[in-house]
Amino acid sequence: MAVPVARRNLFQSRARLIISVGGIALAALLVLVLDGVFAGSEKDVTVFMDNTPFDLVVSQRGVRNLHMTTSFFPEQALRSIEQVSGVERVDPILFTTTFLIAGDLPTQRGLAYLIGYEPGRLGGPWAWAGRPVELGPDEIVIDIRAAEDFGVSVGDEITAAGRDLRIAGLAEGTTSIVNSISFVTFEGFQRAQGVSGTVSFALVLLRRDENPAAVADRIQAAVDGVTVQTRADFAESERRIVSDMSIDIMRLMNIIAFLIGLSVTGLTVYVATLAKVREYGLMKAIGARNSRLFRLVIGQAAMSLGLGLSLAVAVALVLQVALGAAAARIPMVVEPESIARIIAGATVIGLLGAVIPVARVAGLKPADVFRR
Amino acid sequence: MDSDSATTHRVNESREPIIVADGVTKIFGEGETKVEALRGVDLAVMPGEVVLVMGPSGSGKTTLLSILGALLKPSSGRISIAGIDVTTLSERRLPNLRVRELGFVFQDFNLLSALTAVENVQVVMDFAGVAHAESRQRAERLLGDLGLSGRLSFLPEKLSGGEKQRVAIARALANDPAVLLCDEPTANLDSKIGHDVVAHLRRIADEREKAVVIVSHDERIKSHSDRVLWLEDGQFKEMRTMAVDPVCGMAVERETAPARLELDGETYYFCSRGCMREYQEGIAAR
Repeated sequence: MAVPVARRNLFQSRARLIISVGGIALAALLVLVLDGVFAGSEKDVTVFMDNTPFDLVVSQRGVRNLHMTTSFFPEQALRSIEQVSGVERVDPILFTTTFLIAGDLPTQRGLAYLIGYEPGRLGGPWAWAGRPVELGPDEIVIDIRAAEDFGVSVGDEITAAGRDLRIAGLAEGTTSIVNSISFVTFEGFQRAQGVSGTVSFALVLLRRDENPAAVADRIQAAVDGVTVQTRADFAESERRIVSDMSIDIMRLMNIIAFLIGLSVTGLTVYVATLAKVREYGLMKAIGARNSRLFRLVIGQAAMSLGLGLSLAVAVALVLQVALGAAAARIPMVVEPESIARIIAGATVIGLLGAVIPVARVAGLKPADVFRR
Repeated sequence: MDSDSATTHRVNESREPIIVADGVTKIFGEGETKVEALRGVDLAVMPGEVVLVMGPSGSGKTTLLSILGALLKPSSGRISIAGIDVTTLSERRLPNLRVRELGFVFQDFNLLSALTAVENVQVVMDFAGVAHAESRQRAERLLGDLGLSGRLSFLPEKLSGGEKQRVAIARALANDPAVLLCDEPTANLDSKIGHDVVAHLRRIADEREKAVVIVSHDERIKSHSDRVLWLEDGQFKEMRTMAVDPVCGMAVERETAPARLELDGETYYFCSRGCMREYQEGIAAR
C-alpha cells in the first residue's frame, strides 16, 4: 500500500474538501432535483390512467387523450362493446375540461378535468382526503389542494361547467402540473352540459387472461366511429401531448441544468487539480514518473466525484421522501435513469476536467521546482 | 575565508568521483534573447565531500544544480552520476536515476503539504518501489536520526522551519542516494537552525559517504565545506575575498561591494546602500 497522496490531498483542508466535493454534489443535486421534478410532474399528468384500473379505453374516433380534447360517441355503442368477446364490463364516463370558480379572486379559479361517472363504477375518485362520500347530482368532489388554493372546503359551493355545485368531498392525489381533476355524477354532468344519449369514454374491463390488443382489435372492428386503446397507450398519449404543450420548458430547463451541472463538475475537478500542480512538479523532480502522477490526479478526481455524487444522490432521495411526506405541491421522483445519467455525465466530464491539467502535469519541467 | 582555508574535512580521494561535470554549457533562448548560463563548467565531487558553490545572483548556480540533478539537460558537455552518463539517458530513465541516486534539499523545503512528516519521507520510497512497511520503518529511523521522532505524524504546517528542512533532508536520504543537492538550504532559517542544518549535512557526508553539493549565499556554510567554488558569469572563477553584509547576511565581494563603511577602525561591506543605511540607523538608535 503506497502513501495515499490522493486521499490526503482531498481531505487536507476542510474548506477545499467542501469546495471540491460540495461543488460536485451541488451541481449533481441541481440536476437530480430538476430531473426529479420533471419526472414527478410527468407522472402526475397520467394520474387518472395510473389509478383507474381499466384495461381498454374507447373514445370518439381520433381522440387519444384527455388533455384539451372533446370526445362523444353514442351511448348505444356501449352495448356493442359489451358484446365483444373478452369484454367483462364497460363503464362509461363523461368528460370535459373546465374552469372551477370559487370566487372573484384570480387565485380562486383553476383549470380542471371534469369527469362524470356512475357511482360504484370506474371513473370516480380513487383516494379521498377524509371520508368517502356518495355524490348527489348537484354535488362535486374536487382535489384537496385545489380546495386549499381556492379557500373552500366541504359544504361550500363552487362553479364548474357553468353550474353551481356543492362540494361534497375532497379527493387526494388528483392534481398535476397542468390542472386538477374534479368528479361529478354521470347525471350531474349531463345536467350541467345538457347532454344525453352520449358518453365521452368507455372504460373497458377484460375477462381474465384476455389479450388487450386482440380485444381492442375486435372492438375496433365491431364498433364504428371509435378509437380503442390500451390503458398504457392512453397514458402515453396523454403524457406526450401534455409534455409537448407544457413540459417542454421544463425539459429545456432540465437540459440547461444538466449542462451547468456538468460544467461546474468539470471546473471543480479542474481547479482542484490545478491547485496541486506545483506539488506534482516537485514529485516529478524527486523521482515520480508521469504514470504515477496521472494515477494520483485521476484517483483524486474519482474520489471527489464519488463522494460528491453519492452525497447528491443521498440528499435527492431524502428530499424526495421529505417532499412526499409533506405532501408538497412540487412532485419529485428521483428515477434510477436520472441517477445513472448524472453519474455517467459527471464522471466523463469530471475525469476530463482532471485530464486537461494532467496534460499540463506531463509537460511540467521538474527543474521548475528550483524557481522561487 | 578563501577556498583553500575551507578545506578542513577529510575526503577519501582514493575513490572515483561520484559526480563529474565535463565542459558543461547551458544556453537558454536564441538570437538576441540568448543567455549563456553555464560556460564549459568542469567539476568532480568525491563521496563524502561537501562542495559549496557560491556566486552572485544570476551567475548560473541554480542552473548548475538543476543539471547536476538531471532535471535539466546541458546544451553541451557531459554529466556523470554514480558512473552513469546522464546526458545520454532517455527521459523515461531519468526518474529512476533521480529517485535512487539523487536527493534534493530546497530553500522552500518543498514538502507535500497534505502528507505528514513520515509520509513525506515515505513517498519517495514509494516511487522507488519500496514496500510500505519497510518504507515506514526506514522513514521513522531517518527522522529519528535527525531528532524528529516526536514529529512523525505532524503536517508540514505544524513544523518549524528547521524541522521542515530536517524532514526534507530525511526525504533526500530516503532511498540512500549517492548525492545530495542542496539549493540555499539555510536561506529561510535563522542563524542557529541554519547552522544545525548544515551540521547535519556535514555529518551525513562524513558518516554516510554522501557527496553533498550546496548552492548558497550563506558564508557560514564555508566552514563546513571541503571546497568552496565561486561561480560567476557561468564559469568557476577564483574565490574572491568575501565579507558578510552585517544586515542581510549576504556574501559580498570586498573589492566590488556596492557600499562600505569605516567604523571604529573596522570596514563593513554591504550588498546595497539600503543595507548600509539600515546599519547606520541601527547604530544611531543605540
